[in-house]
Amino acid sequence: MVETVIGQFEDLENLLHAGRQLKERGYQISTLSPVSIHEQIEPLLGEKKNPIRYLTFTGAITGFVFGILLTTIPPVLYPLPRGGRPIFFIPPIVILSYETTILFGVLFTLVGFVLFSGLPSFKRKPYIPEAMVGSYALLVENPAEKYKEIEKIMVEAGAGKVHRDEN
Amino acid sequence: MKTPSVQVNRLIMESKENSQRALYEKVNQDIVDTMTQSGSHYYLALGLSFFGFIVFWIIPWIYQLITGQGLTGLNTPSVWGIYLVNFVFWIGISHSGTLLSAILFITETPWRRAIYRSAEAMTFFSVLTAAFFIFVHMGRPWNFYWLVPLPNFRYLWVNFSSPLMFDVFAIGTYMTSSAIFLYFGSIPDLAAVRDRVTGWRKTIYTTLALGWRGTDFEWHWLFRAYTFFAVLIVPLAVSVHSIVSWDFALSNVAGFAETIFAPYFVVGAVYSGSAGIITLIAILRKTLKMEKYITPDHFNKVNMLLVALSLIWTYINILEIMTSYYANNIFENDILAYRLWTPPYSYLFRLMILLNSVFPLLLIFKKVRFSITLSVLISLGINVGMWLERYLIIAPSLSRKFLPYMWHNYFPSWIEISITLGSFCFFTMLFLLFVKFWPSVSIYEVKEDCGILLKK
Repeated sequence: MVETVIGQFEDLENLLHAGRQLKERGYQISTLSPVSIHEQIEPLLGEKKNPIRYLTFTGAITGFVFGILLTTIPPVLYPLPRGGRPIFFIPPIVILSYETTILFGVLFTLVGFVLFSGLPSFKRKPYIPEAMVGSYALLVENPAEKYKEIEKIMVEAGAGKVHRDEN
Repeated sequence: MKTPSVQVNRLIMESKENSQRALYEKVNQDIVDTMTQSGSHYYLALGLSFFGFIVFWIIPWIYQLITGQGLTGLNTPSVWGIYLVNFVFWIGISHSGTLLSAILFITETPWRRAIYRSAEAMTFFSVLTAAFFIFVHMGRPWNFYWLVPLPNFRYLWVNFSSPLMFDVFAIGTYMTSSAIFLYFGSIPDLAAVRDRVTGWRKTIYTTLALGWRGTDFEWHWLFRAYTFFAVLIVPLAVSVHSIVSWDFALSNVAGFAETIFAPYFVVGAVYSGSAGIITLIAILRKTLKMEKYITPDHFNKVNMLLVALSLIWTYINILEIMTSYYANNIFENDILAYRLWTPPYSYLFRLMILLNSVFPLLLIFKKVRFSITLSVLISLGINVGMWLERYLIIAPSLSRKFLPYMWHNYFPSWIEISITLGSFCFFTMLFLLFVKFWPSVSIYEVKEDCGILLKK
């Protein structure tokens, strides 16, 4: 069972200050926020890589190949003669492959989000509803039972409430 | 660093407690209240639109399915009538929502934040309405699966060379991508709603929010994925209306076979879609009391865009006529004369020019741009004009085929007019349901605005 200490902050600067101190002491930290704070938090937590782009690219290529195969193989296997027109020709291949390129790009990005974000997840996890409204929360993993030390750092930095969450 | 928009200035000034937390709570409260506290006017409007949808669309459509397409004014050679006009019109309306939202997101334009959600919803619902017109237009809609490229025992695949087949792919992709774009941008707000509601609503929003907690990790991945969706949607939106234009431009029919149709349709679509946004946000602002979030400045910004689009649309419209005239093809000349000088099309053409090229020029004046009443009037005019534009492409071109024995004057029958009215009721009904069940203004992005301004 991993205990998480949650500190609630009204001010982002205070959270960042507490986060910096805890990080220096080797704690694993993360945040909850009502708005995106990636610009402020990334220098503290380190820049995350973005493998979704590879998936998007793979999706786009897959979609393009799928579009070409879809528009070339069936007309050859099941020809549909239309008054002397070619069985297959370039414009439909380009247009339909363009659409499937984008469609698969979008779908693979969606898969990427599901793979990397950990969502959907309906298990109980450390959370405070105030973080969906107007407060920020600092989550600190506390495997070594150092609650007092973590609480002290958070309170000194300006945390309003600090409590333990076990899951 | 993100730039703030001006709309929350008033919100901050009005707030008694000038703290970030108090403001954020107010934003949550205001927007969730629009979903939970609907007055009798809301239910009246919803009831009327549902009634209109059933009476004007569903019942006549069932009657048409039982009796046959002979009930419509469609007959050889006018095999496309206002069902197709409505299809192109609703696809056009869909064009500004997601496209504008994606472009403004990529360019980090601050005034997007309060209006993009409803604009994206407009996109999704209008694509849906347009897609239903394909079924209405089909004599036997239960054979729709013939359009889907499924391996089957008939040894007959779909005709990939047909522009109608391009439509199936383009609209399917656009509808899927728009729905994903709308949903992903809403996940943090659905979580905010989840924490404020009880009962059956709690269950629904818990599922829809996917377990969102707002961790730095979740924000990071949401932002990354959302950026890719936005980047992919821009070329997609452009391709969709180009493809719709090829339903006409790839044919041999005089009046249809125009090389300028793709840009003409795309510009027209963005134009009518932007006008649709003006109408929708004005209604949203008034009925849901969103004056603090949707300000006259939003109208000013979209109106500026409308002026530019009006000028481009007018230019392409002149170009279309001039190139047809310059080519001096007798069939083209005949269609041109029929459209420009023969009643009733000549009157409709003049009305279209007034509504789309002349009246929107009033938006050059700052006072008009900031006036919500005038903006709505002009935007409604633009949408009437854009509907007429599609009508003036389809109806006269098919009515005058190459030989006089094929000539036929097309007039929509009561059933076509009724279903057209029904489509507006259907769209209104979907939008009313949307504002009830979905946060129609982005809670977290408006909060970002407040935060940026407070720091200043």
